[in-house]
Amino acid sequence: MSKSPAVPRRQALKILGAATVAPAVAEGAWMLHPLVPPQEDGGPWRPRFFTADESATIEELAELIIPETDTPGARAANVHQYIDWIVSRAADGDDSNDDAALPAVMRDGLVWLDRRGAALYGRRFIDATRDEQTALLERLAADPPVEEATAVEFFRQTRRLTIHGYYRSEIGMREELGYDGKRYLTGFEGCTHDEHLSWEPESTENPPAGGR
Amino acid sequence: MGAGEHGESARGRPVIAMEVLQRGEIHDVVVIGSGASGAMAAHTLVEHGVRVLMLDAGWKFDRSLSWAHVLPFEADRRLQQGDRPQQFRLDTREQPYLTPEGRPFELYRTWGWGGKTNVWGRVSLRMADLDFAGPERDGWDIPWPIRYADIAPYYDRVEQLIGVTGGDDDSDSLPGSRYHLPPVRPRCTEVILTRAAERLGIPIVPIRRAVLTRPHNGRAACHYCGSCGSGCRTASYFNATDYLLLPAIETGRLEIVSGAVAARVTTDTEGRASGVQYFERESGAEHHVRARTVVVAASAMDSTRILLNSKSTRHPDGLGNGNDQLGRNYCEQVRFHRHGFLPQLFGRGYTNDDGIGGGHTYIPRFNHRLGGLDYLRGFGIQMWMNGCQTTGVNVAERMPGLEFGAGFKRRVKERYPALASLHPYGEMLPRPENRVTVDPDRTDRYGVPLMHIDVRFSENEMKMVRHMHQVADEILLTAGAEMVPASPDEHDPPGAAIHEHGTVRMGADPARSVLNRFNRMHEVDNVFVVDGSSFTTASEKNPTLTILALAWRAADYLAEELRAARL
Repeated sequence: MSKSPAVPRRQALKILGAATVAPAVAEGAWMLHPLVPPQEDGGPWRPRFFTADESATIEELAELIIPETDTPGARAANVHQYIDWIVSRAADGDDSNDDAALPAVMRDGLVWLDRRGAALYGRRFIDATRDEQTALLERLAADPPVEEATAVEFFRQTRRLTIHGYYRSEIGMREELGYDGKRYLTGFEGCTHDEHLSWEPESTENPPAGGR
Repeated sequence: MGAGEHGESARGRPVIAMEVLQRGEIHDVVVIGSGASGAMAAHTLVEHGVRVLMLDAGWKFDRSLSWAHVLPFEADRRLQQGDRPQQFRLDTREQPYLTPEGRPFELYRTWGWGGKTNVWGRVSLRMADLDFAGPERDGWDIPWPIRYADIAPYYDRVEQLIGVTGGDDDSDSLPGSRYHLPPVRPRCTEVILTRAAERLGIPIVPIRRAVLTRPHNGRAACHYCGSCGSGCRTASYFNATDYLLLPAIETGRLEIVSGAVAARVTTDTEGRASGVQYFERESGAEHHVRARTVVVAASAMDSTRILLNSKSTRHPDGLGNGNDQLGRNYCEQVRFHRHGFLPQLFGRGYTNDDGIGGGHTYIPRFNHRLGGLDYLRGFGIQMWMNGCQTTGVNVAERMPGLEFGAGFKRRVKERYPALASLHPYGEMLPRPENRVTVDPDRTDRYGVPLMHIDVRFSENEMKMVRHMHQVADEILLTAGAEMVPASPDEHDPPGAAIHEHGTVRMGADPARSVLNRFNRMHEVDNVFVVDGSSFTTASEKNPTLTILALAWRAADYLAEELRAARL
């Protein structure tokens, strides 16, 4: 489909009516996660919910969950800004989609993380080595769980918000996954892989339809 | 005539002053609601030369403002510039509805021109005699008063008018059509699932969807952005405003009152409909319009509420409810979403899978060809969200466990083109205890009693859900999918399919139904109810094509009755 015929821009404008074309992106918007509004005073981004220390830990956690590889990771995509924004909205009670318990889960989880880091490695989570941090997250991700339920819930929420913040950012969509959709096309080719058009499974077993 | 005969609030306060009733033009037909059914009825009536006044609870949407082409990371920049997407879903804070504790119901309401057709799923399936004759065959509740032959000519007309893409398939569960626009080619995921289903003896056919795969009746062909759910900027799928209301207004015989929230159908001393009481949505000002005939088309749940609230001495339990059938026998479809990742597509990279939005293929009902079912009726399987139609969120969230790190990131990318989804829809049986009522103690901002929706799935639905899971798993496993974990009883709550039916059902027996075979009320001959509430059974199919066909048929009949001066 990458060869799909795109409608030339001029023709697209004609279809759309030129007046409806989006205005240029605001100056400096690249400094912010795209789903986070700018500071009310127009200054550089500051956390709304977390303290500066807490925010640094969230930034570290997000980068551990989706790290920089051959493409940028969560830090470059400013995912910590997105997490702060969602949690601050939950704390203000104006986001019906997010659990009212989220702010407490996040704050208590950060306290737990530093305490656990101190017990295991003698230092705060953010000061631990990458290997130590990873080992601690593996404990939180373990199935069956090895850490207490509230800590696992904190990790589950942080991971969920990281996924939402990263894979809906320009970096996550375009650079990581190569997304190029929602375009004006003149046709739809469908599957062009010969091997799928002629694909047959290896199994010769043929259960009856519905199999009841 | 006493005040109580014109509609009375639950507290006994007369809601319409007599002098209001006696003034003003008497309209031949007042239509409540401008969605698929109301717009179709109005379009048909004006073609017959009838003058129509339509009440709509909202205003006209502007499709040029659709955010169909706005990517998630562009949305907030738009918001910061003061831009805002149109809100199609009615906010429950403005209009609440009630449910019993522990029995949720997901109600999606759109108040505004075209109703839910602005953002609908567009799946357009003809119901078959397998559906219309279902109740006779298995004995579950009353029969439909019509057969496929009654409605087939209207399916033909609707498809020619709105344009429906589809294949040349024709079966006992999904009748064919000579009027389909060219089918759209399947995505890789859909090709692989089709091969797997074929091995299981389950036929998969091209989807039938009201999307223009070539220019049709002067409208532009689909441009394959796949974002239909945000509203189409080029009207390349059917919406009631562009396809029905605007042409009807062109004739000079349709007038629409916007922001008019219909509350009650008023009646005269004989108990016949005399007009409609409505409130201005913003100011709350009360009005009444007089009518010789009222066509109720406010969507299934809202039409039911309006009729239940239309109480008078002649109709103490609501209009047309002398037999206690109004609001009962709710039915719809029970559905769920089953996902897997197809290893054949791992690491194949991004493919533009947008297409016409939603699935390009469909599995029509086939269970009636199997023996030994432990439940009644059947299901079909839809196939949206296949391949790279969405963001990586849908992939990452469906991977099992709490994986993280570079390996997790790589595995998400690998699976991005490989997401395969099946969405079975199974018919829910009508039951009298699944019902809509109005609560006299809980009213909206205009003092009109709120609807209370009490619905739960029964054993028949749960048995079918287990079979649906079994079939969906078999197809995905035969395709070699890595399965996303799911429970074998998992399903969406009632209402989620947005296919509400049965609460104002049609039937031949006036003791057990509300409407006759032409959507005309048994008890009140100048009231027609033409939306999905009129269905006797839900079938497993998406209803809009059938709603359009029934509304057209009912309006043809109504126009003839008016011409012959029988109304």
